[in-house]
Amino acid sequence: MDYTVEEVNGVTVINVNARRAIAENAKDLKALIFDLVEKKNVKKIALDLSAVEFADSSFLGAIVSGLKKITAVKGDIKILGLQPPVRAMFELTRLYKVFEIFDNKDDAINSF
Amino acid sequence: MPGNNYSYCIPSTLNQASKLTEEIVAEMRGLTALSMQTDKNKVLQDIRLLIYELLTNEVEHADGQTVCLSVNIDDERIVFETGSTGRGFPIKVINGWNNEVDHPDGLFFPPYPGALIGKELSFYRDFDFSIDCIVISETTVRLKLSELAEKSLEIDKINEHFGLFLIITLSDMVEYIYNENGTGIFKITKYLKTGDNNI
Repeated sequence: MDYTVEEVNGVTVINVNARRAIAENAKDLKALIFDLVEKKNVKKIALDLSAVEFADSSFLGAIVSGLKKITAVKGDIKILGLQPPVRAMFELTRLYKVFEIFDNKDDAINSF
Repeated sequence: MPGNNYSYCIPSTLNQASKLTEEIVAEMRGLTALSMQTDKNKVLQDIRLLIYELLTNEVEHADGQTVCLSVNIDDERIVFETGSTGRGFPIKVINGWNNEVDHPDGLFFPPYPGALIGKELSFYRDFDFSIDCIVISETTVRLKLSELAEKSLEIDKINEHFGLFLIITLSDMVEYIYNENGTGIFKITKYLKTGDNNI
């Protein structure tokens, strides 16, 4: 799996360790978030995309799917570390209106 | 059509789509038409995403085991065409936020009903926009984006499929053309800018 999970100050940080975030790893991300919410009662997720250089529509779809899952239990997902092409994706799809986006991990964690 | 022409066919897999995308972008990087762009890297970034979404859309939705893409590029524009076989691109008339089909018979496959020609139908709706489908003829439709007058940021109204939205956003014209022999073509035109002139 291209993800590592750590807990920092009560926030679950998911690090995406892939340069290309595409359909193949989107399924894993969705499953991971669902698992964290359902089995570990996680309500605060910071998704670190700083290693990602390219993201496709299916990967964004997986993040949205995860957001729907976690907001159903009154939780939230914050996004951090967007490289320009990935930031462009959030702007193109207008998802920047939906997610809070931060430049670094500390800011994302402290925002909860 | 004058200009540089390229044709590719790959096995219908996401991995092959990804690989071909990078090959085409690498090839385009050296073309004169692209080197004239004021922001070449941004243009190439958009083209990379456009090609990738186009190919993966075909991989996910077309029936065949092969995906084919042709590219024509000149100083003014790039035209991408993907071909597929099957029933063709379905028009659906949606009913509200849930994108459910508002027709007792379900979807309209080509040849499209004559009664729909000239009509602009809401095909897909998200929290901020809709994808509209203009029926040009029994065999041709054009897709475009419309801003929603009434927007919603309710989480459950956000859809999880952005592929077609990105294809339309990153291009200037998206058409689907169905041929009598049962093949269909998505034709995507992206105009290139030279200096301050949007040709």
